[in-house]
Amino acid sequence: MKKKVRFMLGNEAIVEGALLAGATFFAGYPITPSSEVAERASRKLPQIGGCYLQMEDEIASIAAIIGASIGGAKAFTATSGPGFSLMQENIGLAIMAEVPCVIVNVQRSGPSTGLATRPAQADIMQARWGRHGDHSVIALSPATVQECFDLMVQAFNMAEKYRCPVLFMADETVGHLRENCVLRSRDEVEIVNRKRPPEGLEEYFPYKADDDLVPPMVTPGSDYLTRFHSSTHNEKGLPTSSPQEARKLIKRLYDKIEKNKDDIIMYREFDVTKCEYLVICFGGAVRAARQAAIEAREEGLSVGVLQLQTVWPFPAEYISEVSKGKRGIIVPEMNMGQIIGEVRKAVPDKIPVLGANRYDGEPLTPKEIIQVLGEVVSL
Amino acid sequence: MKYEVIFAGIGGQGVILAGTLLGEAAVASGLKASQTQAYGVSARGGFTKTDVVISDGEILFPYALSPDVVVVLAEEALVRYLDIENKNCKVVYDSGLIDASKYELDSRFVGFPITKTAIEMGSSRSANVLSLGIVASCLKAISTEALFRTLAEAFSPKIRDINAKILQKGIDVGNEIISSC
Repeated sequence: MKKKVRFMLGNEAIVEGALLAGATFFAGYPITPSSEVAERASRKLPQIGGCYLQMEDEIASIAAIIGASIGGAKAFTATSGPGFSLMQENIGLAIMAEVPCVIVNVQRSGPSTGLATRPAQADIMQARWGRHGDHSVIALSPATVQECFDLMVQAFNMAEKYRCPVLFMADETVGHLRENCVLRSRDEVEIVNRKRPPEGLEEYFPYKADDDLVPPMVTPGSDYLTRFHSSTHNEKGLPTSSPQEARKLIKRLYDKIEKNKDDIIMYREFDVTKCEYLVICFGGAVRAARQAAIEAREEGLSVGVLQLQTVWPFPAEYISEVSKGKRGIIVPEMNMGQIIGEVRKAVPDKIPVLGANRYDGEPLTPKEIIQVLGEVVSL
Repeated sequence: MKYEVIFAGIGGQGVILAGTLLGEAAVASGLKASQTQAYGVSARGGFTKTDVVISDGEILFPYALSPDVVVVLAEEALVRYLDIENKNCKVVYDSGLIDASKYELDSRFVGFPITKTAIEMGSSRSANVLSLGIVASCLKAISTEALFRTLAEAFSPKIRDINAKILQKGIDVGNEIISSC
């Protein structure tokens, strides 16, 4: 049967992806340019017996989805810069207590309330380091409405598989973009559910991880006693001040993501291996970059585009490898230059790395990227 | 084949809905379409626009850089398109709402009393539907059947028939604009 092609808004596709992944709970405080996520969730979730809760603020929203997830639901929220800032402390809680959930940030221009309706990608380092303490984190970023749908399924799968919050870093240019989108069905995608303890287990320790570094999860009120703790804790979920146990926990929380980079990191390559000049970008900037690459090729330049669908953990080793022999790297971002720092760390010293940046609330254009490409070529 | 369209006005005139319906009709015609939107922080007033790109191939950059057709429903919007580069672009402005006499407009600019006509035909809120008809007939890429079906699905029964007539009027106006070029 031919799939129906829809003309769908990115923010709406995010909800459809969440529903396909099995989400049954949304709590949020609507904020431009993410409001359509809450709007569609409020219509769709009651239809499937799920729950939509409009909260008093973003702190309550993230707290509610963490609670819902502990209670066994696949849960998500959606916000933009100001709300993302408010959520940071409890994102840390979800990391420490190992609670799967998905936080959508449809990025807008900041700081503070900034340009409320205009795009930016300036929260991408906040996604990495917004909360205190040593930790790793998973952040995905869509460049198309189709990816809003498809990557949202992946976001839930990773949250469930690694028992962690996953940050879905969209931006206004994608969230408020309508374009062709095919909604896949349940049998077309793999759906991952959190690991439960093996049957017949006599004693369950809530933070005793298997070889994959992820502990099985039970809901309170099940056959096993369980605890969810924000303080440094031992395998039983009891607070500890033992340096050995602290080191073990922090290392495991970090390693369960960093040692599974091969599984978590997703990217798309457009003429990456054979090109002389490489554009590395994520999210909305990808659209301008791919158009720029085509126009530059018409002028005789050999340009490829690497789209990072997973921004965190950062694919440093892969970028280090793929950038060898390139004559120059361009990193377009709708911010003053954030991911470019990570690219510079990964790329061999002698290769020039230049940013193409826009931070006035307007989307990056192909022309601006071509201009920087010209600068790199003339170096 | 690739077309770029802009509907521009101020918040409340329904320009974003016009872009959405154009995109939907394009997709229903078997094409690819993208639509972006730009608006201010207030619910009414302030410059608002939507860019629609229609193509038979993949659309990479979803904003209109060199529009083929621009429909302008407010002076605040017109001033942004006075220096448009594309020599073949058609800019249709609402001559009932905009006094264009103070601007030196070349032959690419065509005035039509869009809002006034919609009101006379029975709907004060359907300037966007008339605009949609103008654009659709200028592009020649959208199936008329798909366009009317999209329109019928978007509105409640009580306004459906009036809107269908206004859409047809827009198509006729668009055809006149093309034939006069």
